Amino acid sequence: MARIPDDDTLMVAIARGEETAFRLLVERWETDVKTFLVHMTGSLEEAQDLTQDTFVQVFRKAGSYRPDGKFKSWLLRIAGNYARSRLRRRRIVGWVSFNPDYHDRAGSQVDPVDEMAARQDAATVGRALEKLPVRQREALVLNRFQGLRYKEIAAVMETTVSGVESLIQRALSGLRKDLTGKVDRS
Amino acid sequence: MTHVTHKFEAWLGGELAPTEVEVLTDHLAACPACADAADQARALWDLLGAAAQPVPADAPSVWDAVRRETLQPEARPGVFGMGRLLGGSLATAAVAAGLILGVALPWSGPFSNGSGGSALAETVDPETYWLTETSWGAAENGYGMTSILFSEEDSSEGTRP
Repeated sequence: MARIPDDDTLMVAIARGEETAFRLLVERWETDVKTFLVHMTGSLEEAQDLTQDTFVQVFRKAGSYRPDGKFKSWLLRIAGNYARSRLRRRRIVGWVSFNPDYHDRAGSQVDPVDEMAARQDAATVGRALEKLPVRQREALVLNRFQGLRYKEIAAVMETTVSGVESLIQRALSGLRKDLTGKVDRS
Repeated sequence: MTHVTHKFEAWLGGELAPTEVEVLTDHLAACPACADAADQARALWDLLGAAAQPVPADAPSVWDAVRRETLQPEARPGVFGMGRLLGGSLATAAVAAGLILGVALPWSGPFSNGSGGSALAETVDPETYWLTETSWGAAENGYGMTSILFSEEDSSEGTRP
């Protein structure tokens, strides 16, 4: 049975310019990177652009990548750098509105009124998320939406575990203040 | 009694060890104030989860564009980046104009400063300087028209360095 190459193995091959390895890596991680960037930027189009930039950078940096089993942290660090850079350049952290249409509820059996309320709540939460300071948002997104542990987030954001804990506490506190009275369930 | 509200984020984020979770849940069972706060924290956590923005299944893959920027020998960073900023059609028109000027006009013509296509640089907005570089590179390096057009076509997908 053929062994599925791990990320580090693929990176070594990519450093040699092997297209098949690169394609496999992109296909493996594209959705994760894009999802992260959608939550960071609030825009699918921006996420698409920055995902492209991220993988181009992965290719260019492949030669200097150290295969230490922490590829995902390395990859998300690149993506996070692009996201922060883009947000800084725009000078508006929440420069694009949260798009509730991303929520795929097709085929669900929920009451339309409830569904509308849920969509409005989601949009409200999305806007509140966009108002958070970028690093707080990044830590929270990595934890809540990417499922990363604090230790992994610390690696991605080049900080300490306690630093991540503090960022997430402040992010949730900020969200709580912002959302109080705006949504039914906060 | 030591309250546990400061541990809610770590608890919800899956950071607590099983023994810590046990201590926390025991406390919640005995402390209505913390139990209320835990309910609120859980509600916010769930609300946040409901605001997740999944990437649509039909979102196009970036692979083709990434491949063009990295693996194809025709890739030229300057050309590619501007293509994304300007949009493919404008880049097409601009490069075509550069080609026409470069091919149709004699180097000693009114646009020339005596050193070939570099005179064009003085007429182009600094933001689009790469177009001049492209045209000039075409003249300097002897690229065939086919390869220039191919590169330009790719430019809609690229990033500017």
